Amino acid sequence: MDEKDLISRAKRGDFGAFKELVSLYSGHCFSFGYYHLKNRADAEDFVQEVFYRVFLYLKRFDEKRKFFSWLYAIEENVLRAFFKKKKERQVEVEESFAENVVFYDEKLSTEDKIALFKAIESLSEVEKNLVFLRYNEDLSIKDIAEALNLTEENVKVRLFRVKEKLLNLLKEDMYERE
Amino acid sequence: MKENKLIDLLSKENRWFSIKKPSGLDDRVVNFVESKIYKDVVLWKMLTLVNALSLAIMACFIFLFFAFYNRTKIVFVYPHSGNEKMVYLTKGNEKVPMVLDEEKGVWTVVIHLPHRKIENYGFIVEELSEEDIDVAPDNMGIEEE
Repeated sequence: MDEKDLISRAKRGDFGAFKELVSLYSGHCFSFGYYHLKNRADAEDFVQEVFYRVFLYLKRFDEKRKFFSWLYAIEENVLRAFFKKKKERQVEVEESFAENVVFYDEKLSTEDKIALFKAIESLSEVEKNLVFLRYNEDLSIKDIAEALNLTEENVKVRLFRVKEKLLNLLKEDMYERE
Repeated sequence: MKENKLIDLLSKENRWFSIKKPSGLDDRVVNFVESKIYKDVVLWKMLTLVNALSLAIMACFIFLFFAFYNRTKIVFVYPHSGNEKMVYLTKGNEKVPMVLDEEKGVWTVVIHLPHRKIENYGFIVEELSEEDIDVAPDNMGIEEE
Protein backbone atom coordinates (compact mmCIF):
# COMPACT_ATOMS: atom_id res chain seq x y z
CA MET A 1 0.00 0.00 0.00
CA ASP A 2 1.39 3.41 -0.89
CA GLU A 3 1.80 6.30 1.52
CA LYS A 4 -1.19 8.28 0.20
CA ASP A 5 -3.60 5.40 0.85
CA LEU A 6 -2.10 4.92 4.27
CA ILE A 7 -2.60 8.59 5.13
CA SER A 8 -6.16 8.60 3.78
CA ARG A 9 -6.99 5.55 5.88
CA ALA A 10 -5.35 7.02 8.98
CA LYS A 11 -7.27 10.26 8.40
CA ARG A 12 -10.51 8.28 8.44
CA GLY A 13 -9.54 6.97 11.88
CA ASP A 14 -7.98 3.62 10.89
CA PHE A 15 -5.58 3.00 13.78
CA GLY A 16 -3.88 0.16 11.87
CA ALA A 17 -2.91 2.63 9.14
CA PHE A 18 -1.66 5.02 11.78
CA LYS A 19 0.55 2.24 13.20
CA GLU A 20 2.02 1.70 9.74
CA LEU A 21 2.73 5.43 9.48
CA VAL A 22 4.51 5.23 12.83
CA SER A 23 6.74 2.40 11.64
CA LEU A 24 7.45 4.27 8.39
CA TYR A 25 8.50 7.54 10.01
CA SER A 26 9.54 6.73 13.59
CA GLY A 27 13.14 6.14 12.47
CA HIS A 28 13.41 9.56 10.90
CA CYS A 29 11.62 11.17 13.83
CA PHE A 30 13.89 9.49 16.39
CA SER A 31 16.97 10.57 14.41
CA PHE A 32 15.75 14.16 14.38
CA GLY A 33 15.05 14.12 18.11
CA TYR A 34 18.31 12.40 18.99
CA TYR A 35 20.32 14.66 16.67
CA HIS A 36 19.04 17.72 18.52
CA LEU A 37 18.45 16.50 22.06
CA LYS A 38 21.52 14.22 22.24
CA ASN A 39 19.79 11.92 24.66
CA ARG A 40 17.99 8.66 23.94
CA ALA A 41 15.26 9.01 26.57
CA ASP A 42 14.46 12.57 25.52
CA ALA A 43 14.47 11.53 21.87
CA GLU A 44 11.95 8.73 22.60
CA ASP A 45 9.71 11.17 24.46
CA PHE A 46 10.06 13.48 21.49
CA VAL A 47 8.93 10.76 19.04
CA GLN A 48 5.93 9.94 21.22
CA GLU A 49 4.87 13.57 21.42
CA VAL A 50 5.30 14.05 17.67
CA PHE A 51 3.13 11.05 16.79
CA TYR A 52 0.52 12.03 19.33
CA ARG A 53 0.25 15.38 17.55
CA VAL A 54 0.21 13.62 14.17
CA PHE A 55 -2.75 11.55 15.36
CA LEU A 56 -4.58 14.60 16.70
CA TYR A 57 -4.06 16.84 13.68
CA LEU A 58 -3.98 14.32 10.83
CA LYS A 59 -7.55 15.23 9.86
CA ARG A 60 -6.32 18.75 9.03
CA PHE A 61 -3.50 17.47 6.80
CA ASP A 62 -3.85 18.63 3.20
CA GLU A 63 -3.12 15.57 1.08
CA LYS A 64 -1.77 17.75 -1.72
CA ARG A 65 1.21 18.51 0.51
CA LYS A 66 4.07 16.11 1.15
CA PHE A 67 3.55 14.21 4.37
CA PHE A 68 7.24 14.48 5.21
CA SER A 69 7.15 18.31 5.11
CA TRP A 70 4.07 18.37 7.32
CA LEU A 71 5.64 15.92 9.78
CA TYR A 72 8.84 17.95 9.76
CA ALA A 73 6.89 21.11 10.71
CA ILE A 74 5.36 19.23 13.66
CA GLU A 75 8.80 17.98 14.69
CA GLU A 76 10.18 21.52 14.71
CA ASN A 77 7.29 22.71 16.89
CA VAL A 78 7.67 19.84 19.33
CA LEU A 79 11.42 20.40 19.47
CA ARG A 80 10.88 24.08 20.29
CA ALA A 81 8.54 23.04 23.10
CA PHE A 82 11.16 20.58 24.42
CA PHE A 83 13.87 23.22 24.48
CA LYS A 84 11.50 25.69 26.11
CA LYS A 85 10.91 23.14 28.84
CA LYS A 86 14.63 22.53 29.24
CA LYS A 87 15.35 26.29 29.08
CA GLU A 88 18.60 25.45 27.29
CA ARG A 89 19.03 25.15 23.54
CA GLN A 90 22.66 24.05 23.53
CA VAL A 91 23.13 20.43 24.49
CA GLU A 92 26.40 18.86 25.58
CA VAL A 93 27.72 16.21 23.18
CA GLU A 94 28.71 13.22 25.28
CA GLU A 95 30.46 10.00 24.38
CA SER A 96 27.29 7.95 24.84
CA PHE A 97 25.66 10.09 22.15
CA ALA A 98 28.16 9.09 19.47
CA GLU A 99 27.64 5.37 20.25
CA ASN A 100 24.16 5.50 18.68
CA VAL A 101 25.40 7.17 15.51
CA VAL A 102 26.58 5.03 12.62
CA PHE A 103 29.11 6.77 10.39
CA TYR A 104 29.48 5.69 6.81
CA ASP A 105 33.20 6.17 7.17
CA GLU A 106 33.97 3.32 9.54
CA LYS A 107 37.47 4.57 10.30
CA LEU A 108 36.22 7.46 12.37
CA SER A 109 36.91 7.20 16.08
CA THR A 110 34.46 8.22 18.82
CA GLU A 111 36.64 11.30 19.34
CA ASP A 112 36.18 12.27 15.66
CA LYS A 113 32.43 11.75 15.87
CA ILE A 114 32.21 13.93 18.97
CA ALA A 115 34.37 16.61 17.31
CA LEU A 116 32.05 16.67 14.30
CA PHE A 117 28.88 16.87 16.41
CA LYS A 118 30.39 19.59 18.60
CA ALA A 119 31.06 21.58 15.43
CA ILE A 120 27.51 20.92 14.21
CA GLU A 121 26.17 22.02 17.59
CA SER A 122 27.72 25.47 17.13
CA LEU A 123 25.78 26.02 13.87
CA SER A 124 22.52 27.93 13.70
CA GLU A 125 19.22 26.05 13.88
CA VAL A 126 18.58 26.16 10.12
CA GLU A 127 22.16 25.11 9.38
CA LYS A 128 21.90 22.18 11.79
CA ASN A 129 18.68 21.11 10.11
CA LEU A 130 20.28 21.39 6.69
CA VAL A 131 23.08 19.05 7.75
CA PHE A 132 20.56 16.65 9.24
CA LEU A 133 18.30 16.51 6.21
CA ARG A 134 21.11 16.29 3.70
CA TYR A 135 23.69 14.11 5.45
CA ASN A 136 21.54 11.98 7.73
CA GLU A 137 18.28 11.70 5.84
CA ASP A 138 19.95 11.85 2.43
CA LEU A 139 17.17 14.05 1.07
CA SER A 140 17.37 15.75 -2.30
CA ILE A 141 17.88 19.51 -2.51
CA LYS A 142 14.27 19.82 -3.72
CA ASP A 143 12.87 17.94 -0.72
CA ILE A 144 15.02 19.93 1.71
CA ALA A 145 13.85 23.19 0.12
CA GLU A 146 10.24 22.09 0.56
CA ALA A 147 10.71 20.99 4.17
CA LEU A 148 12.57 24.14 5.21
CA ASN A 149 10.49 26.49 3.09
CA LEU A 150 13.52 27.73 1.16
CA THR A 151 14.34 27.92 -2.52
CA GLU A 152 16.52 25.20 -4.03
CA GLU A 153 19.22 27.78 -4.82
CA ASN A 154 19.16 28.98 -1.25
CA VAL A 155 19.55 25.43 0.03
CA LYS A 156 22.56 24.83 -2.24
CA VAL A 157 24.26 28.08 -1.17
CA ARG A 158 23.54 27.47 2.51
CA LEU A 159 24.84 23.89 2.33
CA PHE A 160 28.04 25.12 0.73
CA ARG A 161 28.50 27.72 3.49
CA VAL A 162 27.68 25.21 6.21
CA LYS A 163 30.37 22.87 4.94
CA GLU A 164 32.89 25.70 4.91
CA LYS A 165 31.89 26.68 8.43
CA LEU A 166 32.25 23.10 9.62
CA LEU A 167 35.64 22.77 7.98
CA ASN A 168 36.88 25.93 9.72
CA LEU A 169 35.48 24.81 13.04
CA LEU A 170 37.11 21.40 12.77
CA LYS A 171 40.44 22.95 11.77
CA GLU A 172 40.28 25.31 14.77
CA ASP A 173 39.52 22.38 17.00
CA MET A 174 42.48 20.49 15.51
CA TYR A 175 44.91 23.36 16.26
CA GLU A 176 43.57 23.71 19.78
CA ARG A 177 44.15 20.05 20.47
CA GLU A 178 47.63 20.11 19.01
CA MET B 1 46.00 13.38 11.43
CA LYS B 2 42.63 12.40 12.86
CA GLU B 3 40.78 15.48 11.60
CA ASN B 4 41.78 14.70 8.04
CA LYS B 5 39.34 11.82 8.08
CA LEU B 6 36.63 14.22 9.14
CA ILE B 7 37.64 16.70 6.47
CA ASP B 8 37.43 13.87 3.93
CA LEU B 9 33.98 13.08 5.22
CA LEU B 10 32.86 16.68 4.77
CA SER B 11 33.92 16.62 1.16
CA LYS B 12 31.51 13.75 0.46
CA GLU B 13 28.09 14.52 -0.95
CA ASN B 14 26.39 11.35 0.17
CA ARG B 15 25.27 10.35 3.65
CA TRP B 16 27.74 11.05 6.46
CA PHE B 17 25.97 9.30 9.27
CA SER B 18 22.70 7.77 10.41
CA ILE B 19 21.19 7.46 13.84
CA LYS B 20 20.11 4.02 15.00
CA LYS B 21 16.45 3.62 15.83
CA PRO B 22 16.05 1.75 19.16
CA SER B 23 14.28 -1.60 18.97
CA GLY B 24 10.66 -1.68 20.10
CA LEU B 25 10.27 2.07 19.57
CA ASP B 26 7.21 1.72 17.31
CA ASP B 27 5.28 -0.29 19.89
CA ARG B 28 6.15 2.16 22.64
CA VAL B 29 5.01 5.08 20.47
CA VAL B 30 1.73 3.39 19.52
CA ASN B 31 1.01 2.45 23.17
CA PHE B 32 1.77 5.99 24.28
CA VAL B 33 -0.52 7.51 21.66
CA GLU B 34 -3.31 5.07 22.51
CA SER B 35 -3.12 5.78 26.25
CA LYS B 36 -2.81 9.53 25.75
CA ILE B 37 -5.79 9.58 23.40
CA TYR B 38 -7.78 7.72 26.04
CA LYS B 39 -6.65 10.12 28.77
CA ASP B 40 -6.87 13.34 26.83
CA VAL B 41 -9.72 12.76 24.44
CA VAL B 42 -12.07 10.30 26.18
CA LEU B 43 -11.58 11.66 29.68
CA TRP B 44 -11.71 15.22 28.40
CA LYS B 45 -15.03 14.49 26.70
CA MET B 46 -16.36 12.98 29.93
CA LEU B 47 -15.12 15.97 31.90
CA THR B 48 -16.76 18.33 29.43
CA LEU B 49 -20.02 16.42 29.79
CA VAL B 50 -19.81 16.57 33.59
CA ASN B 51 -19.03 20.28 33.38
CA ALA B 52 -21.96 20.87 31.04
CA LEU B 53 -24.25 18.97 33.42
CA SER B 54 -23.07 20.92 36.45
CA LEU B 55 -23.51 24.16 34.56
CA ALA B 56 -27.04 23.14 33.57
CA ILE B 57 -27.86 22.26 37.21
CA MET B 58 -26.42 25.57 38.39
CA ALA B 59 -28.42 27.43 35.76
CA CYS B 60 -31.58 25.66 36.98
CA PHE B 61 -30.86 26.68 40.58
CA ILE B 62 -30.22 30.27 39.57
CA PHE B 63 -33.43 30.33 37.54
CA LEU B 64 -35.43 28.84 40.41
CA PHE B 65 -33.85 31.26 42.87
CA PHE B 66 -34.79 34.26 40.80
CA ALA B 67 -38.17 32.85 39.94
CA PHE B 68 -39.32 32.00 43.45
CA TYR B 69 -37.10 33.44 46.14
CA ASN B 70 -35.62 36.66 44.95
CA ARG B 71 -38.91 38.53 44.96
CA THR B 72 -40.01 41.75 46.59
CA LYS B 73 -42.86 41.39 49.02
CA ILE B 74 -45.43 44.21 48.82
CA VAL B 75 -48.44 44.59 51.07
CA PHE B 76 -51.37 46.43 49.54
CA VAL B 77 -53.86 48.00 51.94
CA TYR B 78 -57.34 49.29 51.19
CA PRO B 79 -59.59 50.89 53.83
CA HIS B 80 -62.57 48.78 54.92
CA SER B 81 -65.83 50.59 54.38
CA GLY B 82 -68.38 47.89 55.19
CA ASN B 83 -68.06 45.86 52.02
CA GLU B 84 -67.90 42.07 52.36
CA LYS B 85 -65.47 41.25 49.56
CA MET B 86 -62.43 42.89 48.12
CA VAL B 87 -60.26 41.78 45.22
CA TYR B 88 -56.84 42.92 44.10
CA LEU B 89 -56.58 43.03 40.32
CA THR B 90 -53.18 42.60 38.72
CA LYS B 91 -52.08 44.05 35.40
CA GLY B 92 -52.76 40.69 33.77
CA ASN B 93 -56.35 40.82 35.12
CA GLU B 94 -55.61 38.14 37.69
CA LYS B 95 -57.89 38.49 40.70
CA VAL B 96 -56.31 38.01 44.11
CA PRO B 97 -58.78 38.02 47.02
CA MET B 98 -57.89 40.43 49.84
CA VAL B 99 -58.05 39.57 53.52
CA LEU B 100 -59.89 41.73 55.99
CA ASP B 101 -57.93 42.85 59.02
CA GLU B 102 -60.83 43.72 61.33
CA GLU B 103 -58.62 45.19 64.07
CA LYS B 104 -57.06 47.75 61.79
CA GLY B 105 -60.14 48.03 59.63
CA VAL B 106 -58.32 47.44 56.36
CA TRP B 107 -58.23 44.93 53.51
CA THR B 108 -54.76 43.56 52.84
CA VAL B 109 -53.10 41.45 50.21
CA VAL B 110 -49.47 40.34 49.94
CA ILE B 111 -48.01 40.36 46.44
CA HIS B 112 -44.57 39.02 45.45
CA LEU B 113 -42.99 40.89 42.58
CA PRO B 114 -39.99 39.37 40.77
CA HIS B 115 -37.80 42.46 40.96
CA ARG B 116 -37.95 46.23 40.69
CA LYS B 117 -40.57 47.19 38.16
CA ILE B 118 -43.64 49.31 37.66
CA GLU B 119 -46.71 47.25 38.38
CA ASN B 120 -50.17 48.54 37.49
CA TYR B 121 -52.92 47.35 39.72
CA GLY B 122 -56.54 47.95 40.71
CA PHE B 123 -59.03 47.08 43.44
CA ILE B 124 -62.50 45.61 42.90
CA VAL B 125 -65.03 46.33 45.62
CA GLU B 126 -67.74 43.63 45.80
CA GLU B 127 -70.77 45.84 45.03
CA LEU B 128 -69.46 46.83 41.66
CA SER B 129 -69.25 44.63 38.62
CA GLU B 130 -65.99 44.50 36.67
CA GLU B 131 -67.53 46.56 33.87
CA ASP B 132 -68.21 49.36 36.30
CA ILE B 133 -64.62 49.66 37.29
CA ASP B 134 -62.12 51.38 35.14
CA VAL B 135 -58.96 49.45 35.81
CA ALA B 136 -56.79 51.37 33.40
CA PRO B 137 -53.28 51.57 34.77
CA ASP B 138 -53.26 55.35 35.09
CA ASN B 139 -56.27 55.79 37.36
CA MET B 140 -56.01 52.48 39.21
CA GLY B 141 -59.74 51.97 39.49
CA ILE B 142 -60.56 55.38 40.99
CA GLU B 143 -63.63 56.80 39.47
CA GLU B 144 -63.24 60.16 37.83
CA GLU B 145 -65.52 62.89 39.00
